[in-house]
Amino acid sequence: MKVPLSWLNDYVEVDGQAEKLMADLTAIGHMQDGPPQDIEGDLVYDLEVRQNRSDCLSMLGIAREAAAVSGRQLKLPAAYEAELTDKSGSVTVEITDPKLCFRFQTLTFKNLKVGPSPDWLKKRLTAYGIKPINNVVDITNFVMVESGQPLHAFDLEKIDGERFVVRQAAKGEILTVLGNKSIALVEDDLIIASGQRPLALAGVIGGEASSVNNNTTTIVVEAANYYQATVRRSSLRHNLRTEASTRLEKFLHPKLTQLALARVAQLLTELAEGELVGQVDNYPTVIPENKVNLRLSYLNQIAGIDFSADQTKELLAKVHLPADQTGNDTLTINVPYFRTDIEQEADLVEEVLRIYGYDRIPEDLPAAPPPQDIQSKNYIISEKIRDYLVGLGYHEQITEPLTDEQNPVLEPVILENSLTSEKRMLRTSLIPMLVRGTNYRRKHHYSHIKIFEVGKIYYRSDDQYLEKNVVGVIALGNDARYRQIKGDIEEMIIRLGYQPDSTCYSIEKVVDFSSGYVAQLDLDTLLKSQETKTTQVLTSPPQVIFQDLSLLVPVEIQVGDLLDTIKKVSQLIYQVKLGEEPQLIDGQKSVFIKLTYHDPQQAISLDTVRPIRDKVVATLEKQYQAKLRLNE
Amino acid sequence: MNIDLKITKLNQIRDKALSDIEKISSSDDLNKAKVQYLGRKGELNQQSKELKKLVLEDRQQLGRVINQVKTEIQQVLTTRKKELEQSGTKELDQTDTSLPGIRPQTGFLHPSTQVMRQVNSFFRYLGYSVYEGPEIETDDNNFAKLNLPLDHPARDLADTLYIKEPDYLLRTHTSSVEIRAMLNEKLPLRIVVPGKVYRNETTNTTNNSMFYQYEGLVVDKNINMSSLKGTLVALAKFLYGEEVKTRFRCKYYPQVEPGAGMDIQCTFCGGKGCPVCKHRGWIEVLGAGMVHPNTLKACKVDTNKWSGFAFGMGFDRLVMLKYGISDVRKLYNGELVIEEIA
Repeated sequence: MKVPLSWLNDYVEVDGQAEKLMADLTAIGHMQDGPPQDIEGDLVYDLEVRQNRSDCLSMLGIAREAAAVSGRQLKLPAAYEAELTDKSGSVTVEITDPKLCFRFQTLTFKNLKVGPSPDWLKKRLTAYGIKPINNVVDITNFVMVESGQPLHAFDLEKIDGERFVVRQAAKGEILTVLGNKSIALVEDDLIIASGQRPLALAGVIGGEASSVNNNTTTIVVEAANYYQATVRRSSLRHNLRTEASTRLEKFLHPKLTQLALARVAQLLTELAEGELVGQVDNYPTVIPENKVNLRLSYLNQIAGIDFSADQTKELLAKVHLPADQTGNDTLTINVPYFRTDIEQEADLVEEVLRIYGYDRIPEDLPAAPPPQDIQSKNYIISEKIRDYLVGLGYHEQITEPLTDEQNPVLEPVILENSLTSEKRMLRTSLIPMLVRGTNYRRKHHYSHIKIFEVGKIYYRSDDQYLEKNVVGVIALGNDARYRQIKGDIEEMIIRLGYQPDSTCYSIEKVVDFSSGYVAQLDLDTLLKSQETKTTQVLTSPPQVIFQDLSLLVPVEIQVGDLLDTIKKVSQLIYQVKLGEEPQLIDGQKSVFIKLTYHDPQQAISLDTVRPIRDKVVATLEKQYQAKLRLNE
Repeated sequence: MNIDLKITKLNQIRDKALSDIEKISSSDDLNKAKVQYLGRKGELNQQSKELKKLVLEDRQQLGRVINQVKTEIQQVLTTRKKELEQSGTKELDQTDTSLPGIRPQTGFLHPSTQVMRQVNSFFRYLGYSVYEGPEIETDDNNFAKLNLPLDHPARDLADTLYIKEPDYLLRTHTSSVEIRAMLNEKLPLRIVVPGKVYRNETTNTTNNSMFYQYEGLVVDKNINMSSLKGTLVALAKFLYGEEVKTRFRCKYYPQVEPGAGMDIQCTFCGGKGCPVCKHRGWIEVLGAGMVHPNTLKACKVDTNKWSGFAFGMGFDRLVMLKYGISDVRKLYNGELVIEEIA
């Protein structure tokens, strides 16, 4: 909200106090946004708009806050209190749905002299940021900014039958709004129409056809109040964010239409020689001003301060909220029409505290002992993974999941309203960004590149939107080998307390790189598997017998199968490890296996081991045509 | 030619070779000697070429001698080579301790992870749990239960990325996870929720469509504005140093009532106003407040028994400040490289 200092000064004295006042307004919830601007010699402050304070989109609202915080006198223009006696006139107003329009009030003026506004009025509007047009339009704008109530003036001679209907638009209706922009209305739009013709988009903008110009002599000024959501939707739908819509999309009390029109009457009479000839007020259901109770016990519980009833009443009075003690623990507050944001007790707690001063609230910490530990399992595991991989020389990267890279395996989650096509969907794999990170480093002449990312992938399945925690690992360089990255992942899984299970990760060779592998581990699936004991603590190392086994097997035999088979031959086989790298010898694969035997019950002897070894050799020969190498 | 003469010649070659090799002190010379005696055109091969001129019996005898000499020379060469190598390394180890140590190749954590750990440890010390939740959210968890019904003007504060408007979206704050915690966990509750959040914003050096937020929630008995303020001031001191000047003020957020904002005095200008603080003298760092009764009720929390506070802050600015990064996009595009400078 733009606040020209000289304008604010009309209602509360601020001269020489501006900086302090703005700091104080900031403290009570209206943050000064940037330094003041000098507009034609007028200092204009910008206060952040509070989306719940419809009254603070008005000079009077800001003046009330300024008076509250400075303790200075508030001077309101007397015209607001003037009676508007019913002079009926010839205009009729019809509201088709009282749930969408709460009040529609009009004044009719004739014999107007439309012309330029006086300088003081032009200066006020210019400082605020509205371009002066003519005295009639300027007065409606001035009263809107002063009071917060949007108003609109129609040239009555351009309206058929002097009849206003507030109704939902019919599909296909077109309205040419101020600025000569034509909009295609939809049924959800609320419009002001005369007969069949749309005149204005209710609460948003007026139509070009019925606008006031220098030849106008008879006008109808309208002040109305609509269902806020309808106003908001229309303004968003037609991309018409106007001074009126930003006010009427918040709840303004319908009482305000009357007050604002009284002020309009005074100004039109004084500045445009207008003659008030009619008043119509269609207000189907009178909305009373609100009463809200505040329990002192609740106030003090939430504040952490002991306020007495008297102190509370005094503080509330400063912000124009009269309170009566209606029970031992209860104050009843008559909420004035301009504070539509105060709906419940908690709102009043904020009122008491903000005027008491947030800076005076004592500093404390929650006194209770720490509650249950509910640290997320995925977080704990992810942290372990980070430490493990960093220890192995992998660098962590974190990347934005918005992408346009598609993975043929998973159906991506696509955004409906992304601003750019490069960010139109969520990633289904960590791998493309790992490759990208690697390429980037390669371009900058790094040679041994190892990167990882712990994060989520996202996909659709059976009309559900799913996300999955995964770990991606990439290694590039002369020493990057398949077995290396596989070993890194297997060891990681063991360290996390699970058995390595090749179904929860995959490893691929990186295309384009001479030597590079990339892997992705499905963390969610891993965490669902059975946690097991993967290490043991020994007070003395076990007594074992070592044996080597040098075999030749057909090339197509998988070494992993051999190792698994050996392990199953006897419970006394303690460890089975692959010795040196398998090689091709005379068209066969050489496999060098290191075996250890251990008997938990007793000391193990060669006599015990011999038959086991024979059985191992026999089993391997039978299942895999494995032969002991002769030179052994 | 007499075969005895030849054998004598071979013995001479051997003796000379052995004494030569004994004196050699560099591996280069050792290689030369190897070529000289055992090479393809070496002295012993020269002798072998003459074998074919001999009768079979002599040929066999002399062949054996040549092989024996070859083996001897080869053995001496190998022995000398080992000696040279050993004496060499011994001396290197002993004399040059200034050679750089062989360092392991270790990786580094992403700067955000490093800062995240520090902040998490602060809250862990105060009894908080790090709590996670989904990034794809429902309107209900991201807005409605946070006292932001459809068509509420405060929805302007967050430009939402929709997956299926209005039901499914990318969370615009991690408050949605707090909703889940209140719905699914036992009370009392003390959690922090760091995580990725999304906004439909034009990307530039200070805004990105994805960024990290850090929120916290406490629901317990006797939770009030004092415990909130004390927590936030302690956090500000932890993040910005003991000397930091803070300002606690009223601020509107739909999901809290009363609402609060915390600023720190601009460290660049000392509060006088400069471009960094947009001439405010203060920098907004946190939004907070007492959890709105509507939100508590929406999460089936008995407001007669429990109250709560919540706070939230943008996280990336902390990281950028600490590491002198001026473009937020660089944090999460895979182009961040960490190098040791020692």
